[in-house]
Amino acid sequence: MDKLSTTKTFLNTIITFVSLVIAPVYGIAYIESLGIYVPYFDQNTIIILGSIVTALTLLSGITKKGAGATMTFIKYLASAYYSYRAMNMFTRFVLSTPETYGELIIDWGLWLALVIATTLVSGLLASLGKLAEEEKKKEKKK
Amino acid sequence: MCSISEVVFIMSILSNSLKALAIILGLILSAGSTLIALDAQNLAKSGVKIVNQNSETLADEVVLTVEIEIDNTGYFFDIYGVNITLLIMDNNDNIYDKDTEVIEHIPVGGSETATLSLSIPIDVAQEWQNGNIDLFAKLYFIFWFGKYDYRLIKFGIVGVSELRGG
Repeated sequence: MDKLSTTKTFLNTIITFVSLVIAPVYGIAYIESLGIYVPYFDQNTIIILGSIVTALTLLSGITKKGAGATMTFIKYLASAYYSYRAMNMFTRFVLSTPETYGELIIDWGLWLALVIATTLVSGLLASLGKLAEEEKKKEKKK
Repeated sequence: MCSISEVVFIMSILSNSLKALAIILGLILSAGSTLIALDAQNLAKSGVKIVNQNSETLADEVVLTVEIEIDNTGYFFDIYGVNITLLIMDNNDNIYDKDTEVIEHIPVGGSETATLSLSIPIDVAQEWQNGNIDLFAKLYFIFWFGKYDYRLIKFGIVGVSELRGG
């Protein structure tokens, strides 16, 4: 594994962990400090699923050939499941003080289907791209 | 039969195109989320206004009329299936009256007005005037953001405020 791809894998892993675990957990902590309660948010699920996707990002970066392409697709599958679970946690926000009460309700509807479909198609394309790259390297060696 | 250099060339193009396509899909999704957030922010900031409200006392009831104007101040998405519901209740969750209005479609830049009318029995209004009970107005504002008749994402806002009297 060359230096460039090692750095790329390392950076991707850090970015994935920050965006899937750190940002949601601290983002919700900040929102709750403003008095807004998110009743369906489950921190443990976010940490577990986010860490799994992070680990798969690392694995898909360090594995090569067919295994690398499969890992990439599995990573995108896990990512789609993470999106599904996470988006369904952000469907109700409640602001309740003695003076005022307000609620924001979100139904992700077709948008959620679009997010999941796009993630899966991206996963398929990325893994096919990885496979094609390996084939290219193999032909070059010949 | 292709030569090795041709295979390498084809694989190179295929690999780069597929990766580019995956990146473009991701970017379209991120851009879409940003545009929805922008339109939602515009609507929340200046899209919903109470333009008129008045009350009229009849023989046995007090009639409250509220006119709400909804402007689609967003740039990209139309608003569909707007459901505005207003109800009056007391602190024991007794609902005295409820009115709903549905607006099917507000295009970008469009505007619609909903008029909601509620009535409270006169004895309840008097109790409230005397400060014996508290009355609350609860507003539900539910709508879909969408385009070309496709409803993408639904937002619902619920607010409760105390009616001042007594």
